[in-house]
Amino acid sequence: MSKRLSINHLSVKFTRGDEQIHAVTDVSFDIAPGEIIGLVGESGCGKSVTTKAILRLLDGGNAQVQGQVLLEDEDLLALPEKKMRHVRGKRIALIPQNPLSSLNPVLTIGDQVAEPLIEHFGMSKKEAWKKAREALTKVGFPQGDAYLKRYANEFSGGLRQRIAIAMAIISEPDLLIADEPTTALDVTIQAQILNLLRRIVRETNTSLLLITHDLAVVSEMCDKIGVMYAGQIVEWGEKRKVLREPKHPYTEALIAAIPDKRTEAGFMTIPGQPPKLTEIPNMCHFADRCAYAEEACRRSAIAYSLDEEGRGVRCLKPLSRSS
Amino acid sequence: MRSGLQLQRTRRRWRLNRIGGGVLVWISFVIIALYLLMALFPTWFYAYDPFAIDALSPLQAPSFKHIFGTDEYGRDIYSRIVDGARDTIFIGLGSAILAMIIGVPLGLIAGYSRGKADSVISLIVDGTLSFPSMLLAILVVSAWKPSAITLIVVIALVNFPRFTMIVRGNVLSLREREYVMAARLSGLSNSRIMFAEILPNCVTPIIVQASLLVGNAIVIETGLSYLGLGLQPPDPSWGGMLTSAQSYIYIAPWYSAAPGLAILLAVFAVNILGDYLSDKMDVRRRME
Amino acid sequence: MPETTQQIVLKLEGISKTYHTGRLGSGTSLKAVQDVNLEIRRGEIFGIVGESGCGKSTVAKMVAQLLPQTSGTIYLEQEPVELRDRKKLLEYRKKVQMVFQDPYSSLNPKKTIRQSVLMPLRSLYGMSGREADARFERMMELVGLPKRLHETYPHEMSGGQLQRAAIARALIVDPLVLIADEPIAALDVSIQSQVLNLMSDLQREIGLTILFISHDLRVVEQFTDRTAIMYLGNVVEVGETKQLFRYPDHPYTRALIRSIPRLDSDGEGHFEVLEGEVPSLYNIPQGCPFHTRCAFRTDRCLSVKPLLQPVGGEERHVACHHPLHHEAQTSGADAG
Repeated sequence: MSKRLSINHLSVKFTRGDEQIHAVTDVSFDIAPGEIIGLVGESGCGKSVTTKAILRLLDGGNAQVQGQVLLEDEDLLALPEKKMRHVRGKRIALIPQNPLSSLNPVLTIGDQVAEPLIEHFGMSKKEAWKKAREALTKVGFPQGDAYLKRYANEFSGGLRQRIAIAMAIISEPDLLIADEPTTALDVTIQAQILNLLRRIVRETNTSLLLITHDLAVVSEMCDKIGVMYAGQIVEWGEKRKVLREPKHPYTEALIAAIPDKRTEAGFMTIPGQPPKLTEIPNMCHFADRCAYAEEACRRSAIAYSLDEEGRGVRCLKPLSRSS
Repeated sequence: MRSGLQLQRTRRRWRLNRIGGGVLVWISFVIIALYLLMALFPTWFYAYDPFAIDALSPLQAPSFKHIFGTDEYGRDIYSRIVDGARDTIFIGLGSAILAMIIGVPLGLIAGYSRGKADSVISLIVDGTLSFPSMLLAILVVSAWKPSAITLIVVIALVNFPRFTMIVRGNVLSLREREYVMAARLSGLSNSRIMFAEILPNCVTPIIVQASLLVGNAIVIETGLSYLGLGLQPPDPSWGGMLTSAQSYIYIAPWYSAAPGLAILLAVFAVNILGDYLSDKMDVRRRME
Repeated sequence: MPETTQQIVLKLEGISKTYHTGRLGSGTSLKAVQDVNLEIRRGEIFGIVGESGCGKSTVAKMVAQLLPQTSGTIYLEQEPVELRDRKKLLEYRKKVQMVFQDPYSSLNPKKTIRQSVLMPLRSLYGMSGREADARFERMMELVGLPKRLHETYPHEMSGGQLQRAAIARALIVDPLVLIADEPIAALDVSIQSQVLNLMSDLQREIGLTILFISHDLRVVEQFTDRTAIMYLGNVVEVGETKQLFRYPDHPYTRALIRSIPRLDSDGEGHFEVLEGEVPSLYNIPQGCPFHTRCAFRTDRCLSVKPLLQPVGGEERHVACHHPLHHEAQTSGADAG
């Protein structure tokens, strides 16, 4: 299977005072063309830092990034900044969580969407505007020019997110990264945006890396899922398999804890708290909250294993359906 | 406005960290302590009587006898600086405190109650700000006798809007915080909410502003002295000394250097300490 | 009839909130909440759901009297509440308390947990000293906050712990009604369940009535006994939660439910997408406020605003000319 993006043993550490924050530890995964990958986890699990590391948007003085990020066999972490800027504008595009703060309030929508084309492709203003109009039509804006001359704050949240998506797809990137793209939106608008994203991926063969805290969103959208916990990918695999037959106890607990079901005892919870990222233990990160933890789980760091089917798990005693 | 202040503060902290905040804070402490001692117990520091005229040795260069030299009447500059500390510090601190006493409650009321009170207070603030402050100061000082008290009142009147604006801006965002609503649910009166719930959460910008104002007040006093509206001779104030010194700047540069340095150190130390204090007041940072 | 009215602890009658912007006369008005009528029963968890701008939080704030209503009356235990009188307002505050969405800003950063939690007890009952402390300890035990956290400051605590403290502060005066405005929206999934469990335990143990405001339909479906759906400042449907989710009568309710991402979905084309955006509150459509997005609209919906009416028994009320499952009692005449 061809790979578009391949992340190998990515680790990110931040230094704050005399503490080290282990934000991401040994993360590896691949994305194929046209694939939708979901990275799920709770806050602080490292999912957003991973995307920032891919785009090299982390503060250089503060963050140490190790590993490889291969975009079509080119290591992004080794690129000079000038080339990286090109990659960011053209080959990898980011769809932000809050489009209001990412859209420039003093530029019209037309100028804003057309800008990267003028910047990265050297198009004339007229050409770029024509393309911008096409892109905006693609994300559901009506034909015509009226809205192109308006400003971001004149649009609702859902429309702003559509504008942000138009900006992201206009340079026909190889990879779209969407960091919680619908968290700020209402449920009916969320459904619209998710449908739109899925349609774009299917039509253009771009790949989509979707970062979210919501397993149900992943379930609606993705081909494969990576579940992250305390800086590591603890489980990886084809969506339905991971959700129906989770192998890692954290995945199982996370699915159970979604408050969409209630038992006699109330809602299912995961006891305890995740470990502090400054004091990552040299053992299974989940052991302290795990119902199945054994002596061996606390002895050393747990290796990440990937089987032939592409199912990855970071657990000494992965759950199996029969048990 | 809030974000501007935030930016200013991060920049300052960056600078503090870079040069070793601890040492700077220590130095500032020592400077302020010395000035305070000079203000309270000037006799401990006098080398000579600051008013003793020595017609035989005017404008002497610094020497072991007169470490900062002498002025045009042969008075010891060092001793005059010691004597000037009292009024200068009195004016600096006094006007900052008075401006705070006027400005902070107005800002609290304007931001918390909004509506009519806000309109009236904003009008006062805008009016004061749009009036050239030096002109206002000159008007007031010429109407009354120029004394330390008059100067304090004038400087406070010119500067209280800074506190009002900063506090109002903070309160506007803080009043929507959920703990303020919770305080209302707890049945607290409006004045309790303003002073006990909101005010402690805007101390940091108030202190930063106050420390800037202490320095500013000393500079304004210098300006007024220059126009002959400051403290009247023979009472020495640093601003007044600087004014007299500028006539001799070419033949006796040290004469203006001494009060200039005194003012510089005072403004510097107050600003560093203001930053340090506002950090200390912040519960979050205190805990770290 | 008298039997059911006795159960009603809180009643909203024709509650509206209108904001006027601009100068007198020439300005526009924003109708945030229009003519809301609800009855909340003793000991139940009542949910209010809707998208942003639907007015659910405004209703919550009016019930908590953090915001005065433009018109309408609130009845607490059958007594109309006259809240302009400060004394009566304080009496009301003893009975109706609230927890908020953002746990990180709901406690004063300059106060310890003990100070914050004791505040309502001090100012509403003037209680302090040993009696207050005993109550504090009991409350902390009830919400599950260990001793070591009693004297800490909010920034040292996690979101879940803060929300527990906020619940303790609201409940320390032993209120009849707790308003919870999106109390779990800012928390991680595993913490959400903990806070929900706490609230339902409290509801069961001390017979608390909870008004639960949320945009998360999955949670509302599981957590509440009855639910009201709001759209553009109007209540469009009220009913028993399980029934409402299974057989929604209002087209908007159905669209909302079908927009929820589901864990067990097959992943392709499951969503029923409601086209278009929520209209602006400055420009609420004539007739039925939902007609611009509704697939079932008729001419009548464009001109006549449907009122909330019982359908299929007393439990379900819907504001629609063409309810999906039940025939409205009045719609038969000119629905065709």
